[in-house]
Amino acid sequence: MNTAERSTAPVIELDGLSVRLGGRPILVELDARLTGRAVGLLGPNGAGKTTLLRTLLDFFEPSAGQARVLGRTISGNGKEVRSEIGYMPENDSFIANLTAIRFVRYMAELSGLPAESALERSHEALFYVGLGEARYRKVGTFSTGMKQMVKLAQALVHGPRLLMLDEPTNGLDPPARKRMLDLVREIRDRGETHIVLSSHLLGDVEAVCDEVVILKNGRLAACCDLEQERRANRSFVEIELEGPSPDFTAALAAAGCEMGIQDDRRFKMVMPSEMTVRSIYEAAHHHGGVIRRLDCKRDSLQDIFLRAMEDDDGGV
Amino acid sequence: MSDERIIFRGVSKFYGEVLGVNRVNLEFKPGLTGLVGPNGSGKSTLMHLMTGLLSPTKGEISVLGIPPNRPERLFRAVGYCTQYDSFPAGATGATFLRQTLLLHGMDRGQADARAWEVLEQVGLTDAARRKIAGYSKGMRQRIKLAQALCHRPSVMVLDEPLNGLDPMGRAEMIQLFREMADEGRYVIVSSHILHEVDLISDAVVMIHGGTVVAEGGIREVRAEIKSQPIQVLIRCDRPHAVAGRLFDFKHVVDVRILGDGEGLMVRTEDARSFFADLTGVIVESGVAVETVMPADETVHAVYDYLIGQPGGTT
Amino acid sequence: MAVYERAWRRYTGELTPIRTRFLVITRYGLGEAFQSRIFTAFYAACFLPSVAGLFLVYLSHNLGLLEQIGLTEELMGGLTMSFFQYLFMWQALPAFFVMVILAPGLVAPDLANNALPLYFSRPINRVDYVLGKMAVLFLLVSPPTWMMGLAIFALQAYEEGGGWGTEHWRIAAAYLVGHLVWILVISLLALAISAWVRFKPAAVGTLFALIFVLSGFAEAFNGITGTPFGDLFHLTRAIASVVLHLFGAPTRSDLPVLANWFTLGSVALISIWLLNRKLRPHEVVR
Repeated sequence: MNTAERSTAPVIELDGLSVRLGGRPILVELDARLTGRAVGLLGPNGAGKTTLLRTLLDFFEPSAGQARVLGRTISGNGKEVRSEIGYMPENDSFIANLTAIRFVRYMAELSGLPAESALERSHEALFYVGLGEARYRKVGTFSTGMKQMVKLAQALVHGPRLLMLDEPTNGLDPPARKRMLDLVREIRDRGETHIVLSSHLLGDVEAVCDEVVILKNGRLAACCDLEQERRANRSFVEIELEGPSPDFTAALAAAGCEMGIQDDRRFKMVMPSEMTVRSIYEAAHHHGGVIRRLDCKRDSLQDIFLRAMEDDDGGV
Repeated sequence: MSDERIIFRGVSKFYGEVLGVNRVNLEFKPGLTGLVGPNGSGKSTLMHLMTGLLSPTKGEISVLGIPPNRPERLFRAVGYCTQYDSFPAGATGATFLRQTLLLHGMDRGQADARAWEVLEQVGLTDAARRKIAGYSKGMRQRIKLAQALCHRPSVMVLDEPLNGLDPMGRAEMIQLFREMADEGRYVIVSSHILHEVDLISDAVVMIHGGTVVAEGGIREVRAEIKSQPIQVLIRCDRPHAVAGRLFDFKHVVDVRILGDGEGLMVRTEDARSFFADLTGVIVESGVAVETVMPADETVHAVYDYLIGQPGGTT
Repeated sequence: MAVYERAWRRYTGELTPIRTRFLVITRYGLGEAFQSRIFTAFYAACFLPSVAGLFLVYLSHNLGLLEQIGLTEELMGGLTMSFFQYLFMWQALPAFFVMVILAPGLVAPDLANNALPLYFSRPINRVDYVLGKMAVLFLLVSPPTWMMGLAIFALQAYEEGGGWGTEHWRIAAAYLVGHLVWILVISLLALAISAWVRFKPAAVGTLFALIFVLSGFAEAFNGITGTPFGDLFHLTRAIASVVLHLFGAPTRSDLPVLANWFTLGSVALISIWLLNRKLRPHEVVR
């Protein structure tokens, strides 16, 4: 797998960023320094994710603080900042009576590509997202999946340094979702472009992102490095057996594991610190247990997210 | 025809020449059934047929003994949550629910009480007095679910019900569906998020090109696909050591080292023997194992095998 | 032999200058305009009055030809001021229709499916957007109006000779300024209404209706109150009066011409305000 080095230059910097809309505070004093290749943006409905993305695009003026994208302050440099960004909004966004190729060309030229390069790169972008002959048809006639792909193509065509994707797998069926996520991972791995992915689907974010920002009520609820999280805490284990094996289970308990039994075949447990997975297998070998599934569960994104939601107030 | 189930018998639906569904024979059991398939495969058609919004070109449908073309009887027992947003103009969340309940024959007092009960279940008590037109996508989804379940139907037909909900909302609604399924109701959920379907479904119906390609519990379905040996994922620190030893066993047909070099994917024709043999391999080789997991007993894997990957979006 | 990887890459070539980027909008707008054959034919027809005007000017200086046709008496008097005024009106009328029919098609498709965020996520702001769209209207409507007008004036001055041109400079000025003023006001109005109504046929209808309603209201107001103040709302009359004033002729309205300028200015400003409100890359949260 072609993985690029993690650069330490921040992609996005938020310095006490606050944004008010319609008289209400939407983002409140956000402070963050994001350096990941792919940053996930999570949060409950109304937390301010889309507002944050739009503020980074200079659609809104901050009411306090500032934000920097790829080293440039947004206020006062709106056009320069936007030249480096490709944006894929959540809602339907297209011009119905243009063909896909004309639409993407138009967007490419608006981003500054000269006409010939725009045409070349538009075809490349449309090929890359998997749109074949359909590119000569009007976008208004496309299915949801195809419209999403055109939206991605117009975000990519000018080769931006930062790609902002808002719910990119919305409305896509499983093969199209897989294709979209594969594409995003490919772009990430190439190393030339940073990605910000905002989504409600923790699975998508987990599959793509190495850093995660969680918003809640306009504030930063959590900001973590998924790579690090994945390496931590290995003593929690989930096991599923082929058939019940009371000797084996008893042996594990005797060895000092804290057992949480679900049924005669499935249980979760916490190993004592000296114990390794190999010892589990040795015990299985010795006592005739056949392990069908074993998982050292580290904090999945779901746990991190739920914890972040709980932290501010007493309950979820 | 059994009175107790949802049954499709020889059902076909065509829109002129265009295919909706073709010769569908299905029996839904109580519990949570996931309905999956690509866009345009006939999922929505199936749901519309079940709720009487479409009538079949051919064949018979029976929902708990009620034919779907009798909506006055059908919708007492059925709650439907559509994919699309459409609400009475100017209605607030609370009035919408209340009116729905009045339509179901409750008196004012009952309707009011029940409406607020449901609003709490879906988490909309704060926004209930605001107009639906001003709701966010997630809130609109919740009010749709509310109207689908407010009259305590025995059958719930939900088309992409988690669309637009944040992770907590998804978890809450999933919990709610699970509870209703455990009460013995029929909860039929169509979704593209296959790992969620995996998590919550008792059974799965997979549809492609207007035909049902698989139905039943996911493990049973997987076991029936004989053409594909089962895949097991092993994440460990020295995959090559494990791989070498695995080839000693005749039931192992294929071993692939993962791209990141931190594990391997094994294909074997005999799951039981494999896991037993694996124990010995791990103990002997002394590798540090992180995960051992059957990799294709998921809806996603079965989907790939049966529906395949239509190449791109031409 | 080599195997070429077909992967997506960043763009490292030249970029077009940001200041003139809005012209991309203009180019594509023009392209879309001429998709319709009916429109193309109609646009060609806009030149007919000017062509007729050229012909008449030429005729009036070629008595031999006139004798042949037998129109000597009628056109002997030479071309008067009224000729030019009529020509102006005949040029403006079809051009006005062109603008009103074209403007909705420029803006409505962008708004109908929420394409504005895609525009504004690029180095384009609202000013660029409006300038780009207005440039389409200007570029289309200028040739059949003031450009042809000035050409006809030049032909007349040449044929007449003897400093006729410098003596009648007012006509040239009236053509230039007059056309530019009404083009500016109407294009702003048309774009604003298109942004507000969003749906192509409805926008066209609304524009025509607005003109009629304003005229009707103005007349009614005048009639009821017996004053000329209704003319403050009469857009077409204001335009006509301003243009006539530029020609040095008496205006159509009983109001001083400054009031007519005021009307035009207000319409322009209200249009700009409406555009400012409607062209947003996002919906305002309630």
